[in-house]
Amino acid sequence: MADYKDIIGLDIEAKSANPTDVITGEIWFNNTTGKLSYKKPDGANTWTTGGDLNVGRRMHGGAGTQTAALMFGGIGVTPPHAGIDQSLTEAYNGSSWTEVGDMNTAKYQFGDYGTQTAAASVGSADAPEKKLHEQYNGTSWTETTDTNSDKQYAKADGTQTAALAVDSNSGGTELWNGSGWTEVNDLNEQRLWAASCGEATAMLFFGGSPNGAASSGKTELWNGTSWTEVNDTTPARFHLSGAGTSTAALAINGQSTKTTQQWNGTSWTEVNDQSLDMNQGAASGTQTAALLFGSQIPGNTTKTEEWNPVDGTQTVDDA
Amino acid sequence: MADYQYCIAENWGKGFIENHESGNFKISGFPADIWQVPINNKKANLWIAKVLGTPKTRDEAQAILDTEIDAQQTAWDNNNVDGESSDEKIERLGAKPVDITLPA
Repeated sequence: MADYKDIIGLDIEAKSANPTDVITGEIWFNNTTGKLSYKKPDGANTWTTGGDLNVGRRMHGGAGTQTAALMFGGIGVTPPHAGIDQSLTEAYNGSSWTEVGDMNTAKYQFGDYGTQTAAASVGSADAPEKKLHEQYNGTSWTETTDTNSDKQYAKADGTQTAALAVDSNSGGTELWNGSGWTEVNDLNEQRLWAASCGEATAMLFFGGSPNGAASSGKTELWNGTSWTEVNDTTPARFHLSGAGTSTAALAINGQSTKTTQQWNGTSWTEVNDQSLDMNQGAASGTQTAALLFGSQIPGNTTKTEEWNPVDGTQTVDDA
Repeated sequence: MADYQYCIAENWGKGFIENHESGNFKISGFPADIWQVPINNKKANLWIAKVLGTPKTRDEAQAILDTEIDAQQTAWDNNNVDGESSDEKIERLGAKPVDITLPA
């Protein structure tokens, strides 16, 4: 019978720490822990805890990646910020949040797009900021060209030179080209408190509430010209968050559910739940490396969760 | 027989729940720093030890949770602005916290 050396070509090595460059099936002895360890295939993604926000909020904006994210605006949840519109901006480096330059106008439920160093907010829940468009350059926020029509409870995705913004109250959609907004085809069904992800030419808009009470699982896909209804999310929900692209998205949390679903360009599949209820949060990143931050739940309003694949490194004790 | 065990532990953020933990057993958090993990699970027990969790029976955890939710509901009820409608209050503060029943 073949032994380990015959199969792998090496004896089992002793290492001072678990190596990061192992291949599936490799075995080693960790002489720090005194345990025999091995590598099995990495597992499905799960949620883990990230660094806490400095000021907890809900209905805020988010942009960037899992390890370079930006959070801005929103409404405070706990004293002394409870019920107060916020202009605060915080940046995440993969482990902690740091306060950076404030937005010019405090607001909530606006569209958000971009990266940690080139982000934007579009619209707001309240007058007179429903057409406001602010851009962030990595240091400070500057007001730029307003949208043509209101963008209330808006959703937006893209970059500072090509973005799409949707008014969740009417379904009105506008395209940003870096200097001005152009009205394009409306969403098929307006829905408040929905989620979105993608870019100016390929955006996904999902969930929400058509009337502020009922939940919707409807999903619509923007192809650069018009919106088309595709397969629904389940459960139907509002106050959810979205991350990823129009072909590889995540639908995260929502009112009364910690469900996470994955979109493959055609349909939604349920994956691992979150640990905490983070409804009314915001998300950034991709389908395989996402970040979720903030919530309307008082104990969770400063919390951050990270979405990563499970490392297949195991010790014999874990078997 | 119970499926879950409960503990109280303060979520310190990064590192509180790690990938190898949430990948191996389900961890659910509730208000008042209450955490639910599977019972008779070695890895869950190791996680409770790591986070310095104080074990609670389901009834003890439920009582702590009820007290916390009551406090949140009272705070919500008492946070009012003159002339504000019910819908406006929900918009400003979010929905009133609801009671939660922990599974056995």
